[in-house]
Amino acid sequence: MTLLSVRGLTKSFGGTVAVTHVDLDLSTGESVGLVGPNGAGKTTLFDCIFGQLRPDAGTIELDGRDIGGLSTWRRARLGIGRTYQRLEVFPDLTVREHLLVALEAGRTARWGRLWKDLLGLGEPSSEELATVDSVLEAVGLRDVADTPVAALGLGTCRIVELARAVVARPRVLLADEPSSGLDERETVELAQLLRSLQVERAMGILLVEHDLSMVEAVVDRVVVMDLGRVVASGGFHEVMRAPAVQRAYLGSP
Amino acid sequence: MEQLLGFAVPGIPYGCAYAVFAVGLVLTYQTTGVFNFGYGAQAYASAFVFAWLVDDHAWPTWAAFVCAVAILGPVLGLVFDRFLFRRIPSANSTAKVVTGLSLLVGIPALLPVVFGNGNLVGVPSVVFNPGTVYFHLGADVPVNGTYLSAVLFTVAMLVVVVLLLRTTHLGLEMRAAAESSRLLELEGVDAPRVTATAWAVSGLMAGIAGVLLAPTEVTVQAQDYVTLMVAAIAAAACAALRSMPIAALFGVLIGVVSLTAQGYLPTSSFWYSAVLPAFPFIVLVGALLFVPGLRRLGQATDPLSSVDPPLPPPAARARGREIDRIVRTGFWVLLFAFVVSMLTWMPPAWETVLNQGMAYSVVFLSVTFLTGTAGQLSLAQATLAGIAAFTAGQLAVHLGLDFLAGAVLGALAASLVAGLLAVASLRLRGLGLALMTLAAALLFDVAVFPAQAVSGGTGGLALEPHWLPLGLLSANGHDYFLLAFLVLVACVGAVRLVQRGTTGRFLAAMRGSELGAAGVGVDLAWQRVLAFVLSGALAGLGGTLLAIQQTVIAPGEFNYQLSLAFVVIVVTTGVGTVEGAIQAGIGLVVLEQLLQYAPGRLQGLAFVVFALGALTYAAHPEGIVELEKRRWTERAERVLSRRHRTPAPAVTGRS
Repeated sequence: MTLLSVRGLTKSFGGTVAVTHVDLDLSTGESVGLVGPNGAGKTTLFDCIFGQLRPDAGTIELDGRDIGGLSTWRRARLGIGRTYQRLEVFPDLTVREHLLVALEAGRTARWGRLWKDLLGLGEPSSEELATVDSVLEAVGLRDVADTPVAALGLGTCRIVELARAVVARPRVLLADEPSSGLDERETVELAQLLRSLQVERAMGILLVEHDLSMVEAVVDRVVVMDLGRVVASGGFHEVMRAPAVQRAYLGSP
Repeated sequence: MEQLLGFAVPGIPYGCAYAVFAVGLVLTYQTTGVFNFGYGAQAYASAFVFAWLVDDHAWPTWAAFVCAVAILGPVLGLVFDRFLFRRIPSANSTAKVVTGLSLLVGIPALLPVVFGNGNLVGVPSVVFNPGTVYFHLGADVPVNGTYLSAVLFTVAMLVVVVLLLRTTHLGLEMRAAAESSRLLELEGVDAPRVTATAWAVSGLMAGIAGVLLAPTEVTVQAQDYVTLMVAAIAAAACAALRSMPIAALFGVLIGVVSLTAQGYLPTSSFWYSAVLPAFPFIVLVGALLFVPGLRRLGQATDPLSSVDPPLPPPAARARGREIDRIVRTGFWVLLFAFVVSMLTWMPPAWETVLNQGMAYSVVFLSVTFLTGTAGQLSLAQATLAGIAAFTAGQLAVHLGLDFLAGAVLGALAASLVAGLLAVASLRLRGLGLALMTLAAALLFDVAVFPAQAVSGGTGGLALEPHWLPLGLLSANGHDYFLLAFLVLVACVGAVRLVQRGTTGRFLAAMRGSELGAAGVGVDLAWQRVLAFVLSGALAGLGGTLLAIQQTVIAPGEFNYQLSLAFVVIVVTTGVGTVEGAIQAGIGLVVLEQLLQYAPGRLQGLAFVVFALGALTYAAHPEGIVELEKRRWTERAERVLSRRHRTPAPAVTGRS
């Protein structure tokens, strides 16, 4: 069943067309790799799907609902999680607080939350703490749960971002170059973690990644973009042999 | 036509003054990446020294010009670069704004301390004689030396800086350094030298502008330069801080349109008394709302900004259990001693001072909450305090409402205005938001607070004793202390509860990364409005407390300069903790009280001390008090750990 559907998506910046007429489908529990050379339009496509950029044309549907006009936070509450190419963590918060923010964001009414805080009832519930701790356990962050993120290294921060993105049980995870800045061992561990989270939580994953070994380890199929267009899609090995893909990566002979 | 020219031509010197400053602001921003709020203060410093040398020491004009402009201007720029702005991490736009503000507040207060309160009247012109009419436009519109100086200098400055930036290799390097000095260094360019050159050029321009503008006013006063600077910000904003010719054009237009409208409008009309003085600020608001380039002004563009080290955690979070127990016990003992002292032996004069300190602390808590907790910068907190005070005062005058009940309604009014300001600024971030709040503060200063219906006119509203059934105005007795103490404790408690709760976590997330916070479902617009509303309520409560203590609510007590000073003072002590607000409030009034005993020229030193303290914000954004607390905590931890390692002496029992 199609969970996320993108149709005819186009986005330009001034005279530069970043994404043009892109169609993309993601089914429940499916993992799709979005690959292509730098400047292919992958992150722009992500930004449009997540509501950080407003597309010039095209539709985006989540579970049959048009989400094209919604703001980023509304899309997040509807079940889209995201990690970022450049880290977007909250330096002053601990790892556990990161997950609590994500968990609490969609739960309580605005004014109700403030009144609870003013009455001294703003502490997280035991159920919320249990949920957070189970995710921290699953991703191996239990030992640093109370450490401010500013004190952690890049690799750990990437895991924190991932844990934050999945704690509210999103239906779709947009992972934007999660291996960026990680060494080979960390990349392998991250790939295993992504795959296990996907299977365990039955979420769809859209993965933008330059490390093709990680893509191969995580995804069910691959979509290749070049110059803002989709140039190929299908199984990993089949697509990587396609002439259009080789031209995109290696240039025309 | 003759009449139009007659009204418009006198606006040219003002317009050129705005233009010169606006070009200087754009130049500094384009070449250093800093929106330099201290630019007006730099210009004032050169004008002050120039006038001081000529008037008080009879130096020749050319020698004073060389000293005040050619030497002092670039030196000031180099000092700003070397000791302040270079130390600020490229991603920290708040630190850049605060550092500029501390210069704007500190330099005008420092100059009389260093050079004395000289009588700087009738400053000579460097180029043309101000009083001489050189020719006439049309039949009888005289063009004197002031007009000629303004026009010629504006054109010359514009041409020079545009050529420098657009046609020279140095200009290209300066623009690149403003984007990312680290990337420029990777290209093999000595980026610190380029940035230092940019600051020197900017300082020189500020010096020239200051000295050439000095003869247009009767005396050299800091107030003129600060006001002029604010109008220039509007012109620079219209050019999105990018195009110097457009900034100059808007500067001239603001000056000419203001003076022309002044000529045509009846002097008794609302438009003349309220709208016209606010015209530059209305232009600024319009630019901030409709010029797209200003929405994310001041946000980091440096791709390598993430290599900056993170802030250290607050001292309270870093200390061990034993130290924590000692600190907490010490806090309660001190608090008890303070309350007992205030109720028993404290001399009335000092009780009054400390009461005022508590009222300021409540206002400063609003800065702590908005900036330290939510990461938003407002330059209108004194205005919000004033709105609450005037609301409570007018409710007492017209409805006979008890002032304390009015204070609650006043705080609600301040919250409402703060909320509206937040809604109007939803698309703005960083510097853009700071400018919008500054424009709002200025609008209230010139168009709202002076109105008879709001403040009762220039004399202000005198609080009558029967408005306060508790007898709070009776010689600043203990009843005021108890009121201020209870309000402060309630406000501190509320802020701490919000900080520790879900809202606090959301605000901390927003402060850390807006993109990340929105990405997990935090409604940023709501959080920003909420932060402004709560901050407005705190400022309002503090404002009414101040009003009760001072017994008169005057418009000048809540002007925009105080708003700027409030931010500077709070970041000096530490904007991240509620203790910082209390230390700032008490510190300000105690320092001012102690300076009463100092010689006349040192009376204004309190702001200088805080401004100098705020300059440390560049290196220590956590605040100097917080920095010292962390250092002492570390020392104490070391002492304790040594003591724990020392083996206990063998017990030799005596028989």
